[in-house]
Amino acid sequence: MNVGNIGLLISECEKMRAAGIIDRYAIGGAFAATLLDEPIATVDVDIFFLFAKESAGLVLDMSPIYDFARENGFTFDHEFIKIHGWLAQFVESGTDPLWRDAVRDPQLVSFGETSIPVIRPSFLVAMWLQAGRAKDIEKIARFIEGGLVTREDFSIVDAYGLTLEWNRVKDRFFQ
Amino acid sequence: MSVQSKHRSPAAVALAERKARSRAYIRSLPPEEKVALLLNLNEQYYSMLELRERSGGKPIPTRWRKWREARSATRQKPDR
Repeated sequence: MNVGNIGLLISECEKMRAAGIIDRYAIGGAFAATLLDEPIATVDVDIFFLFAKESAGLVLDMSPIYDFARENGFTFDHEFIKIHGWLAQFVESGTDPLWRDAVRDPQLVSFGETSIPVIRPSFLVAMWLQAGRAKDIEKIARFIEGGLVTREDFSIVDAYGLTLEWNRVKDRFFQ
Repeated sequence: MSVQSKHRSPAAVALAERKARSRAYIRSLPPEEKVALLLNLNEQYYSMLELRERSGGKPIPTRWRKWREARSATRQKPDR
């Protein structure tokens, strides 16, 4: 089945990892929701990652990722890298404690002969809570409805400074 | 979260139940089929954006144009 060569995208991520450009990585966003729950229309694949080496400067330097893209013939702009038909958005996650912890402990989803690291549901809903847009709250609702997370899974929000955000919306989901 | 409510009409409750069944089925599919469905969903969404633009509505967002361009490029290449 040709399902858009997502395995090829993962294979490029593995090459970046083998080359010492990135360390751990995991799929997040709507594509993660598609893999774990149900399809949600989205233009891109969000790849949350940690750099293998800490940046020396204060400003985030994404050039190792763009250099890899250039060397391998993948076109890119300020937003996406076009890899085997997918618009990949690489999101450096080392400076946000929630994102960093989410990337460190991904769930592996079997996909043909590939294993795709995907951010766990409890972290995904916390990240959507942090983003706070209407479409993010909708994704939280889908995960609760689908039984991917329970009320207990939201106990992590305090540790990431999201207590107020959670208190604002929790009554929509749990009586 | 319950899909039922005492304030809903029987027709609305029945519709909610049908949607819940459909979602449960989709959720049970393997990831490969979910990604295939995602691509179909994206194609349908893009067609709606094209139709809206052709009808004098808002232009297709740049992000979706980039998506179309990326997908078109894969169609021209055989799978490796």
